[in-house]
Amino acid sequence: MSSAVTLDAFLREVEQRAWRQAWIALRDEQAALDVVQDAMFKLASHYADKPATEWPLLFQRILQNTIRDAQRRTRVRNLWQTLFSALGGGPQDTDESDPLEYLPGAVDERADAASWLNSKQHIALIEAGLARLPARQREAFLLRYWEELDVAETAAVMGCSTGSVKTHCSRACHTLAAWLREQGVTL
Amino acid sequence: MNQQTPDQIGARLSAALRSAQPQTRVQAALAQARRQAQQPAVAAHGAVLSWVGRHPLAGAALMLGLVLTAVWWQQQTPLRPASNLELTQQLVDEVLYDSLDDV
Repeated sequence: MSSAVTLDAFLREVEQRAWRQAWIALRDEQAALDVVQDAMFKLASHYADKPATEWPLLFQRILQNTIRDAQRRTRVRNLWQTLFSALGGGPQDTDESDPLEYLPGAVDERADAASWLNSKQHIALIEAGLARLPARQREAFLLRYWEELDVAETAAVMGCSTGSVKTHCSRACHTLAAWLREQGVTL
Repeated sequence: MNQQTPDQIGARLSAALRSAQPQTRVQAALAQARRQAQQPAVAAHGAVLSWVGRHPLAGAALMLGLVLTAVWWQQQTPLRPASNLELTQQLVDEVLYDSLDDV
């Protein structure tokens, strides 16, 4: 019972960040929810008896695999839709409504060095930039900086070497910075 | 910007991302998803398969027993109703006869 409580506390702690990761990758609110629930279910049904210290990396690994599966399914679905739908006139944005809420003080107009980053538009731009990155770069960036895993942990989750993680992160940061600069945002 | 290392850029961008969080409706959906993910009821679907998974020998014996029972039952023709060939023929004849009557 106590393990269930602990697992519940763990999932409660990570669920929002996990959903943001999935949302950035998929840009679909409902699909991101499905992915997070699927990952939670897999953790709860297969790894609940593992030590709690192993859950964070296990969950991240499950989450990344589930996101990748969802992206693959979406790609195949989009291909068929493009081929067979009479309405399919090109890539469609799934930008229905903003599923994010901005924390108090996040959109103030203070002119300090970091204020620009805290505005809605810039957060949206950063997320759009992340969505444009190659999947592995985005994965590395989010694990390393968003989840704050160290290089070795990120490599373990991604199933690659630490060198690859560094390369992915470096490319992701430079690409993002360059893209933001093109959008008129200076870091 | 050029002076910043990738780690600095990454830390700065993710700090900006943290100044937003999912809407209340998303948070509620996540809480519901979390509860559902931990419900043991989902596992009840596969209770028989789980039992077989835990007891493979007993599961194999059970399956063998079921197959043997089915084979034995198939071969017990005297216990089943006798062949209805005559009844079937009679029924077909009647139907044909009636249909000719209609003509």
